[in-house]
Amino acid sequence: MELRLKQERLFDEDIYTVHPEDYRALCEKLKADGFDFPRAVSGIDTGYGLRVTLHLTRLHDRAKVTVRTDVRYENPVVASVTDLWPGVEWYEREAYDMLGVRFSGHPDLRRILLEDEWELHPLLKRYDTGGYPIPGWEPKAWPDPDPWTPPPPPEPEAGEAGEGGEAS
Amino acid sequence: MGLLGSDERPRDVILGTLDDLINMARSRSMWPLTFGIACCAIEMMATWDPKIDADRFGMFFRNTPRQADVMIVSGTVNKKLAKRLRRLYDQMAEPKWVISMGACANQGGPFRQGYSVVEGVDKIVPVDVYIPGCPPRPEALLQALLLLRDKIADRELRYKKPREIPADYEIMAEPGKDGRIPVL
Repeated sequence: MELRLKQERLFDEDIYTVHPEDYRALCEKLKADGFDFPRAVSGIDTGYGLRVTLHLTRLHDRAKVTVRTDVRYENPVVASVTDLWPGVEWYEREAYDMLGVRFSGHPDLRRILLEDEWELHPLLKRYDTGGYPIPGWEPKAWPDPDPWTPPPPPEPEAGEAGEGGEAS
Repeated sequence: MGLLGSDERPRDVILGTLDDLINMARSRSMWPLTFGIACCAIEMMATWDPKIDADRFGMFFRNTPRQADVMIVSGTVNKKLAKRLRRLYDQMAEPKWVISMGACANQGGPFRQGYSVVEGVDKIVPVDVYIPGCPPRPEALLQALLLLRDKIADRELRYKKPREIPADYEIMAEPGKDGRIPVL
């Protein structure tokens, strides 16, 4: 199955922006590819939704990969990868604590820093520093095209450049 | 200060009340609770190092609140910790004193108005000595300890039951349920 993802390269790191339904499949692929060390899982409030970023390293050759996926505020569900890399369990709990990202399949999705009975996810942009809702806050529009849409292939240049290449 | 005896009497005769004697003993053996919260606790450890050496004033840490006299609140008190801090304070035997160390414990410090910060430990427990600074130097903590020593021994400032601060669990609740006015 073709994964819906966009691949970029920044310095020595591959960055995959992936559809949330394909996040788990890509992670299994990377795990089979030898990426054995999760550096971090972070959650970001992008203003139009929540973004989960997973940083992976392959230790023997120090190859680095970043997997990120965007979900909407209404349904912030991302598949958990705790069974692939057990070290991400607490990172995912922190992302749930601070931003309210639900990791489906997580073995123990409780708050890790704040108290269990709190309902607040304090790092969401709709709250101010004190944890109170900002009146009149509206989320930004979902980006169009979707963040995981690969850029269109560059159009072949019709002109003397191509012809010159053929001639040589 | 008029502690025990005076120079006119023979040196082996001490006149005074039993309270004076007991308070002198208390002021010379203040035992703080081993309780460090944040970066102020590093300075608190440095107060007991060989350079400052608060041990020479008869103070050393006790690891249980049952044996401790002084609680040094050294760092930011957040709402989750505040319940535990109040519980530790309640477990300490009377008489007991509290030193609020640093800007965070005094009024919230740089984290004031944060969603999880109690703005001053004096909302949770009664405080005897406040130390300004971020963090205060070990000398400042030593001066606070000596101030507290003088307060305990002084006849005028002698230990009385501190003003009651009931455990106010409302200000330890999450934003929106803590009775604070939102700052917008």
